[in-house]
Amino acid sequence: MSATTAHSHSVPINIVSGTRSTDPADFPVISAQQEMWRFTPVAKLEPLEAAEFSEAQVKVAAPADVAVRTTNAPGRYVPTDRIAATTWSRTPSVTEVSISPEAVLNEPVKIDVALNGAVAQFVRVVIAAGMHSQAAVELTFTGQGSGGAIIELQADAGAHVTFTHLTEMSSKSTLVVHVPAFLGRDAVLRSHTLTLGGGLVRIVPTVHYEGPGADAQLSGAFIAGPGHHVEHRTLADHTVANCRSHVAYKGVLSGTREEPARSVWIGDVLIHSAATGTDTYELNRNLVMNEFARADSVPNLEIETGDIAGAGHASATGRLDDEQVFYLMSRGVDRTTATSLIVAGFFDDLLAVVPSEECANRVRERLAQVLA
Amino acid sequence: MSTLEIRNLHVSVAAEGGDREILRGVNLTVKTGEIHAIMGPNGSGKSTLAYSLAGHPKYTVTSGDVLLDGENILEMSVDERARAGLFLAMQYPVEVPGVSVSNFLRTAATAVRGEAPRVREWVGELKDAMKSLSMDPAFAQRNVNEGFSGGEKKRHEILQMQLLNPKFAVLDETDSGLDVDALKVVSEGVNAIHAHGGVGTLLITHYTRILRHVKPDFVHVFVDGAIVAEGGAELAEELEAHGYERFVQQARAAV
Repeated sequence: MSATTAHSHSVPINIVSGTRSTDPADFPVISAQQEMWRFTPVAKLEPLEAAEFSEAQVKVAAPADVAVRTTNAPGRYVPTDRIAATTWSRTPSVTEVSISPEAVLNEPVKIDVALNGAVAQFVRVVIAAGMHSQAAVELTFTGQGSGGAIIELQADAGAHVTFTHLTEMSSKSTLVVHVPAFLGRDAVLRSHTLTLGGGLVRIVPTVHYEGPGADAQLSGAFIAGPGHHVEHRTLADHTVANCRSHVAYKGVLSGTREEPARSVWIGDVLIHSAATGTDTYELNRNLVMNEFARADSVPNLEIETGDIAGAGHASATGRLDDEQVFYLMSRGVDRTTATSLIVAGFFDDLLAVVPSEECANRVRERLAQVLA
Repeated sequence: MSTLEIRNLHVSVAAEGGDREILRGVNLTVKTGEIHAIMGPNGSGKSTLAYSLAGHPKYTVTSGDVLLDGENILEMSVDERARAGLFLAMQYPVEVPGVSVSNFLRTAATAVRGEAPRVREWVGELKDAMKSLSMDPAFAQRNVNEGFSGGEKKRHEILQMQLLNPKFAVLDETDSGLDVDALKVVSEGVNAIHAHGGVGTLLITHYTRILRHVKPDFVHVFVDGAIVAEGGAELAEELEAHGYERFVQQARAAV
C-alpha cells in the first residue's frame, strides 16, 4: 500500500473517565465540537433523539443449552454517551440470551434485527456465556430504517465466545450500536465486526476486563460505499493484570462525486496502573479506492504502567498499489479482475477466520458490488 | 514461428525538470527459438526496455514500434500484451498480500489461455512445473511474493513463464541476487522451456555468469539507451574479460 499515513495522538480517552449514566439528560446535547462526536455527521443522529420511537423486533434462533427470555434486569453496562443513554432508556425490556455453564454449542446462536420502521427503533440484548461454555453468536443488523442498540456480551470465567456482527444498512439509515464486552477470568472473545455500510453507522465495541488472563481479539472489516459514513470506536480498558487485547480493522472506501464515502476508526487502549503484564496491539488499514473517499484513523494508547508484555499500534491509509495492479495485468489479467483480487487479498486475513462462511461471503459480495 | 520486432524505440520517463529520454532508438528482432542476451552497465536502460515492452505506465514511448507478428503491441494495454504472448519476468516482483500463488497462477492462466484450465489437469500441470523448478508444493499456498527469498521470487517468475507459455519472454536480470544453486535451477528452467520450442527470449543481464548456463544465440551490448555492439556468444566472453569500458567510451565518443 502506498503510504499516506496520517494519525494523531494524545486525545484523552474520555469514554473511560467521563460521565456514566443511563439518563440522556446527564450528557450535553451532541455537537461536532465534542471530541467523541467530532468525526460524526451529527445532524444524521437527530432521528434517534426524536420524541417518537419504537422497540425493534429481535429474532433469536437458539440451539439447545441456550435460554432466551425478556427481562427488566439492567445488565452491567452503563452508557458513556448521550446516544447510548437514549438507547438504554428507550429499551426497558431486554432480550437476554443465556448460554449454560459448560455448554459447548454445536450451532451458532443467531440474532437478527431488521430496522425498517418510520421512526427510530431501539433494542437491547444481553448475551451471557456461562463459565467454561463455548459458543458462537451471529448478529445481523439490516434494513432501511434507523435506530440504536446495546449488545452486551458477558463471558464468565473460562468461556470462549466467538461473535460475528454483520451490519448492512441503507444509505438513508442511521444506526448506532454499542457492544460492551465483560470478560471474566481467562475468558476468550473472538469478535468479527463486518460493516457493509449505511448512511451513518457508528459501532462502539468496548472490552472490560473483570479477571486476569482474559483475551480479546477484535477484528473488523468494513466497506464504505457511496453516501456511507462508517465509524468504529474500539476500546480495550485494561484494568486487570495479564490480559490481552488485539484489535485489527481494515476498510475499503469507494465513493462518488455526488455521494462521497467516509470512514472513521478510533482505537482506544487504556492500560491502568494495576494492569501489569498487559499485551495489546492494534492496527487499522484503509484502502481508498478513489478521490471521493476519506478515511480517518486515530489510535490512542495510554499507558499508566511500564510493566507490560507489549503495546503497539499501526495505522495506514493508502491508495491501491499501482505496482500490484501492473504485476497482475502483466500476467494477462484485466484491470477489474486485478483490482478485485488485490482488494479481496487485502481483506483475506480477516475474512479467512470469520466462522460464518455466509457472513464472510456477504462481505465478498458487497466488495464486488462496490468495485464494479 | 513468431517475430518480435523493436524498431527505433525511444522512451522517456518523467523526471525533475522535464522528461528524460532513456531509450534512444533501440532496434532488435527476436524470432521464436532464439535467445538474445542484452548486456550493459548499470543505468544503461536495460530495465526500461523490459518495462516499456510490458507497458509499465511510468514509461512513455515517444517514438518507434514494437511489432509482434506485425501487430503493434504499443497500442495494447498491459494485459492485452500479455494475452498476445509477451511475458516479463521481473527483477523485483511485488508482494500481493492475501492472494495465494495458486489463485494468482490460475487467474493468470485463465486470462492468457482464454478459458479456465480444467481443475484436475491444472493441479497436475502446476505440480509438475513446480517440481521441475525444485519448488515445494506448499509454496502454492503462500501469498504472492510475500516473504519469498530472492531465489524463490525468481523461481516463481520462471514458473509463470512456463505455465503462461508466451511467444516472447523478457527476463529482467533474473540472475541477479541468486546463489549458484538457484542460478542453475532457474537456468535449467529456462532451457527446458526453450527445449519445448515456441518461445523467443530476451535475457537482460549485467553479468556473464548466467550465460554459462543459458547459451545465447546473440549478444547485444546496451549502452546509454541503445544497442552499440552485436555478436555471438564470443562477445559475452570479451565482456567477461574486459568489461563494458570500451563500449561505453566508443558510444560516448560517437555522440
